[in-house]
Amino acid sequence: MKILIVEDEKLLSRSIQEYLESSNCVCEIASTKNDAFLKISLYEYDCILLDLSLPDGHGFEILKELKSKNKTEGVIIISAKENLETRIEGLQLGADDYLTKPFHLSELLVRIQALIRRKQFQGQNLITFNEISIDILSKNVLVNSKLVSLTKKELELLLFLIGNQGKVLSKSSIAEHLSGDMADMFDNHDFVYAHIKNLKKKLVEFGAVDYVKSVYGIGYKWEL
Amino acid sequence: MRKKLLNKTLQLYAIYSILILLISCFAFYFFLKKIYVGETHEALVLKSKMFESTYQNKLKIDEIATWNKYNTNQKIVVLKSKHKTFKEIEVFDIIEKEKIPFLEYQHPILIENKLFTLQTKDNLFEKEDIIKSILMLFVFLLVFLILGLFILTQIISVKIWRPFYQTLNSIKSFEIDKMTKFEYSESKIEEFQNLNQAFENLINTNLGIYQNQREFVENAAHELQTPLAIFQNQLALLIQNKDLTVEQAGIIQKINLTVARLNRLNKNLLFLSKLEKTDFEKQEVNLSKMMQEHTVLFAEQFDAHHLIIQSNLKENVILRANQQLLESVLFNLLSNAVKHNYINGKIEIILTNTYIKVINTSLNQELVKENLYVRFQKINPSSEGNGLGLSILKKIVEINNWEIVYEYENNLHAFQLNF
Repeated sequence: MKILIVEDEKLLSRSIQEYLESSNCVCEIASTKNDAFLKISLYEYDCILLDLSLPDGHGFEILKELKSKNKTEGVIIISAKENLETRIEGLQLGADDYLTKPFHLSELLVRIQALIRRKQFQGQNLITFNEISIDILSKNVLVNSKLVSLTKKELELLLFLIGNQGKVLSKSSIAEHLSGDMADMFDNHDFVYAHIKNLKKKLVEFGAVDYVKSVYGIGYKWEL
Repeated sequence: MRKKLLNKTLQLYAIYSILILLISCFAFYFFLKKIYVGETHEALVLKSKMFESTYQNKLKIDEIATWNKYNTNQKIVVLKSKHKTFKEIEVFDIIEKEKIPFLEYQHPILIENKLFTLQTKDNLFEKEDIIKSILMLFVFLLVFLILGLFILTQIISVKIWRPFYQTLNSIKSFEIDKMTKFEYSESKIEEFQNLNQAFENLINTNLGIYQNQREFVENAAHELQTPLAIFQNQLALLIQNKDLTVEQAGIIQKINLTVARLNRLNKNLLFLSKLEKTDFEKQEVNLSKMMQEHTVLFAEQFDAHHLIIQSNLKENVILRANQQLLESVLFNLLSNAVKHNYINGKIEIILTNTYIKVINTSLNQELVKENLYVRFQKINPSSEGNGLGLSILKKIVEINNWEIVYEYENNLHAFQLNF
């Protein structure tokens, strides 16, 4: 996956780059609007991460530029601004998703994956990881071709874990992914443990390998 | 009790009038007396002159007794002095049975070459009578004066002070956080116009400062988002390190929690500043449904704290409010009930047509009502709260003209929202 990060904060763009590149993405960074214009006109990307406040202009100008050139790149706005108007305007201008800073890198990664899946012509709706396969549309999970019934939360958790395979995920990032704004209001993330435990149990029951590792007190990791 | 300015003036006017009238009452008396006595002097002199010119030559010494018999006010007596003298005397009046003041004029006359004294007298007015009349007159004047002053003051208070009261009312209804302009009607009175302009300046200056302050909070919170994002991302990268020791992982976990807390604080600050400046659109909201959804959302938190939930929700309670704000209210009520609860505690949720009530068990003592909604006034220092939740709640309640009541009974904390 080829991703363009349009963000003037170098530390932020680098951290995104580092995380995404270790998850089989290729990232380029544009720290100004003009830089972004240039890169968009020269290359094709699968996804563009777009900060709205740039030193030489507004992120919306890039959205307009993409539209006028009939570019079909998926765009995820990453902005410090959290208000409905900006969000709606961004989505109307052709952005596909909107993430408010600060966000978890793991969350960003699964959003990118979901976006690319949606964008792909005749979307790839099947995610497979060894003996486990998930049909995104029907929400069916098969382990060794046997249907496992998972709750909505467990399915979300499974997708999140597989999407971030090989990465240590902090409990707070998992909690936030599962319950949105709700989770970051609490320090108590015990429910994450409960979900993980149930998911593991169900998968193992159907003969899957236990891929979920607990990493000290920090979080969990999906690993071969 | 405080007096009205006008009554104060009226009081001063009244005291002053009474004083002036009293003084003038005495002055009037002495002045009147002086004139009267002067007139009496002249009359006596004239009478004695008349005697001299009319009777003096005709009168014989033998006839003096007869004269005296028939003239009560002009008698001829043995010579007392060769000089003309005036004397104030008192004579007992048989008819009125009281002493009456008289002025007597003695002057020497020659009758058949012998000197006698002619005593001519005339009565003076009676002091009490005249003082009574004057006092009556003045009391009459006083009553009319004060009555007039009072009526005038009332008219003044209504008419002349009207712009003042208008200004007062517009200041009373002015709320800085609503960002309303200070409005006043032009006054022809210079003082009021000055007052209004002074207020306008003061308020505009303060509005400016307030606006700045608010923008500062908002901007500061916004500016913090990016560094927070960097902080959080760097941590996410750090935990990927395969060589972390258990000890390091422990430290990172603590940092993780702190970042989460910072995030929370910042989000709340942003939300609070947004609450203060945005007009929120209202729509019909099914509160019962929203409450049910929230209890489902909170299910994980309830389970994590092993809480027993009793909910008594009336169906189809419809409220006209802003969806987002209402969600925030429910969220805050429920999250407080969870955060300040203990493991195996209880939460009771009641919804009726007129109120929502959330009752929870807690290890906390009764909360101090005065500080409840003050920003950063944390109820329990070690709790997960950041001291903004209740301020947000209060603000939303204010925006919607609702009412929030806190009660503490039988070790149970209850927040009731009346709408």
